[in-house]
Amino acid sequence: MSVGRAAARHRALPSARTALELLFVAVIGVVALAPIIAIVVMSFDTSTLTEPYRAGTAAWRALFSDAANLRALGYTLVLAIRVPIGLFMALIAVWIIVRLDAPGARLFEYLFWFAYFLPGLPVLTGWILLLDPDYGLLNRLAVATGLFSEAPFNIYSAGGIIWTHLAGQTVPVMVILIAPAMRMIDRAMDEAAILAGAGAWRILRRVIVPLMVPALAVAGIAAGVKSFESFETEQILGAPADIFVYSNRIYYLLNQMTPRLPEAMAMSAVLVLLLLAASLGYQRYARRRAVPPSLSEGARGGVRPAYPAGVRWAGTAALAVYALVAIVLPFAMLIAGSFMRLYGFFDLPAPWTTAHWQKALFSIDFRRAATSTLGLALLCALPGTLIFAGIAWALAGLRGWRQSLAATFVWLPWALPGIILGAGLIEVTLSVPALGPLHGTFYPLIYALLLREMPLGVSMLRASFAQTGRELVDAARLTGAGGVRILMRIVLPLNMPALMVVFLLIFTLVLRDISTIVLIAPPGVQTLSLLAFKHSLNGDFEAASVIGTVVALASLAVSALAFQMARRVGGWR
Amino acid sequence: MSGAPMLALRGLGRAFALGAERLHAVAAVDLDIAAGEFFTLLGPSGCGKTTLLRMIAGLERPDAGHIDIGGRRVFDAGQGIDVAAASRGLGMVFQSYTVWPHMTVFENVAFALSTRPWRSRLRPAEISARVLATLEAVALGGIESRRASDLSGGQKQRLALARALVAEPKLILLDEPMSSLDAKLREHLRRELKALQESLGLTFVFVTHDQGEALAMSHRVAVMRAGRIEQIGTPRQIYRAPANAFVAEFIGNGTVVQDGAGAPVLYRPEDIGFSTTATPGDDWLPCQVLGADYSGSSTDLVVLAPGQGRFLVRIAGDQPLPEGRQGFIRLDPERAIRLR
Repeated sequence: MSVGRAAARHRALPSARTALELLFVAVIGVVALAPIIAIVVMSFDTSTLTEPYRAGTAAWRALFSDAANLRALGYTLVLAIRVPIGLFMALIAVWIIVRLDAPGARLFEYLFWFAYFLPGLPVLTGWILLLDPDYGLLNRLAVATGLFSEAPFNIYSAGGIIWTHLAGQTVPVMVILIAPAMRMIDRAMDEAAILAGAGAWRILRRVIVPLMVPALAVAGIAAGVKSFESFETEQILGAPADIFVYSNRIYYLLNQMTPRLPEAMAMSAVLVLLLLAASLGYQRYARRRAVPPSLSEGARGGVRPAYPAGVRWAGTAALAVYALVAIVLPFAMLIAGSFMRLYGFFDLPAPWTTAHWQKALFSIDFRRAATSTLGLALLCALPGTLIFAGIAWALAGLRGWRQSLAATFVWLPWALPGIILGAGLIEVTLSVPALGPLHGTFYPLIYALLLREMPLGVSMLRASFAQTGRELVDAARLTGAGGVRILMRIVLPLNMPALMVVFLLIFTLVLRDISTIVLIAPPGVQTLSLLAFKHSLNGDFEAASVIGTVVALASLAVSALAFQMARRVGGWR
Repeated sequence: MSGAPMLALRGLGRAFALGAERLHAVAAVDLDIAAGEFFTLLGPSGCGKTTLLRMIAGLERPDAGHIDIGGRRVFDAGQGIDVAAASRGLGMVFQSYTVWPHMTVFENVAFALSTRPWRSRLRPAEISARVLATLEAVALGGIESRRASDLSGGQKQRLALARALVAEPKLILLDEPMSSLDAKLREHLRRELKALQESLGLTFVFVTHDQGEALAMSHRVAVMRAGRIEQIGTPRQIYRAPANAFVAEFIGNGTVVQDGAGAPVLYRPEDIGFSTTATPGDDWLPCQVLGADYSGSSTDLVVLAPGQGRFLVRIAGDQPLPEGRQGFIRLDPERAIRLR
């Protein structure tokens, strides 16, 4: 055999490592793609429930001919306006916190973390108490001033939905996503501009924003994608105004006497395709525009850029007003609501009572839900953190197309709204005979919850692992330690704070998730959030407030812990 | 020094909270720097030299003292004067490259001119002419449309210098501007900086921890330790007549011994005579070579003289002197540097 042929043959034969890498990529691919493939396959089913699978395009035709479906898509797109608005608000907030280092910056940043970890539904009840057109406290105050003849705010409107999303999720999640990137910018970038005579606003526009474009694009796309999955806010606030978004429509189709499964799946498939296109578009953009070197060069800390005291205090004032209105006020209302004899009726002779607390806390339902929530949260968070760490570590070892492909697979579930994921998994367990025994158990639920948190969890760990000094890992490698040993003995102990953050992320997802759990929870099992959701749908807002307050207080503790841990993760001064 | 100094500091201080204690990063510094001077703040890491520079720039607020630039009071803790950094009429070059990577070379330099108040704003043609002339002065002519992120390390640092120069300040602050560059480039830029400073008649306040850099470039050097200035002098004064043991040991190498009266004196390695053939006499001491560091034009020997201790000795060229080799050293009292 000639040398050339031998070399060719050598290249053609994959080594054990290559085989292992390919196996890893394949496993991640199956894990991420299974529900998506199930959704697409089911969308082409034209059979009735009792018949075997029959391929056809009826559901797709119905999708585009049913005005309600198109209206739901239209509303979803209209409500997505909150993404650019939220991005702008988050950018300003992070700039005040990180670059101006406004007095109290740390407290404000914690409040954003708290808002992110706060379950959406309880906060929603707080907002209803403030902005309901009939009994909302702010509306009544506005009318009482004599400036308005009728309630100026209506929570049951597109504006109301956009605002509650902005305050509760869109702005907080973007603050969390873009703050580390803004911290990486060397303070001398601002100082050079200050010396050149530029004012704070000009420095933000000309220096900081251009350097932040990649991070802003990531945050915008991530939040844009997530805006498609919002479910419970629209379900509660949208119904009175006849506003249905995409996820509501899917839920509606699945909850018919005869579930319109293929149609729901076709809707889901459209969404996944849209999101895939957005994701590919971003990747193309990211390749063209490399992250500016300044983001990693000379990131020194210790002293803030020297902005004038007036600008810094103005920043504090702006953040204080925002935090009070968007975070503290609804939280206070939520607690107040749980003590109201009749929700929203402040004028009763004795409006306050602890009866709802006694009734709710001592009910069998509450105790069962609390036990299920805690059990499920631990069952997901403990193995989930280790699995994500393993995936992040394996990704770090991959190169070239294998790494890009595996990383894409890891991000795919981000595009799957919980409700669609749930529906897809039900289909997989029902239609694949080998998986039949899993139907109705906890396993599909755990799988779904972990899959939803995988993109954020793995990427946080990847970023943290990347900051582990290369020399530390190389030194371990020189001792002959293998990949798993290095992961367990060096990388994991060094990244304990990041692991804790990811653990808490998963834990709180279970605490507050409704859209994933609502369809695939095993019969008779419900979490606290699900219980509160059902109370809200039944109009029992008092009970919903009590449970919401309990969940919110738990979130308060978890977010404080996560915030402390995240401070130790890189990119923090 | 004649007339008002370009920069005058009096009682300048800054302390940081370090847990329950306060760390005095800069403690009551007095300093006068003349116009056209190349002045260096030299000291080990954490001695407060960068904090001092940032206070002069207006990027850090002092707790005490006052600062005059060009005869104008720009900061006074007592009177509550604190002129904004941009209005102090100075330029600054930072340690890391700190050029704005998303802008072109031209835009980086033009930025400072475009931020001027409306009344004193230059016409686009004037801005262009000033920017191109400044780029020419730092040898970056012809690449003005290139993105700053595409430049090499040396080019980035020259661009940072151009950005500091374009507004024509009289005082330029340089915070370890060459620490990110390789040795060869550093040496090259060192000469360029010095030539530029002299040709434009600017005042440079240069911060470094590299003693070679400080001695080679400066008219005067201030050696700092723990927030205080230990000595101010010309490079020759600092090297030949260090004020104390800290300055002596920080600047250059040497061996401290006690003279006949028991006072500490320092011998620089090049001031100690060495011979392998000298006959023992009154002033030649027998010694044994412990080690040799060859550095091209000279070799540094560590020798042990029985009863006297270890000495660092510098000899010209490259004489093969294996470990254990016997020799002789001579300590000339005339060359001894007395320490206080």
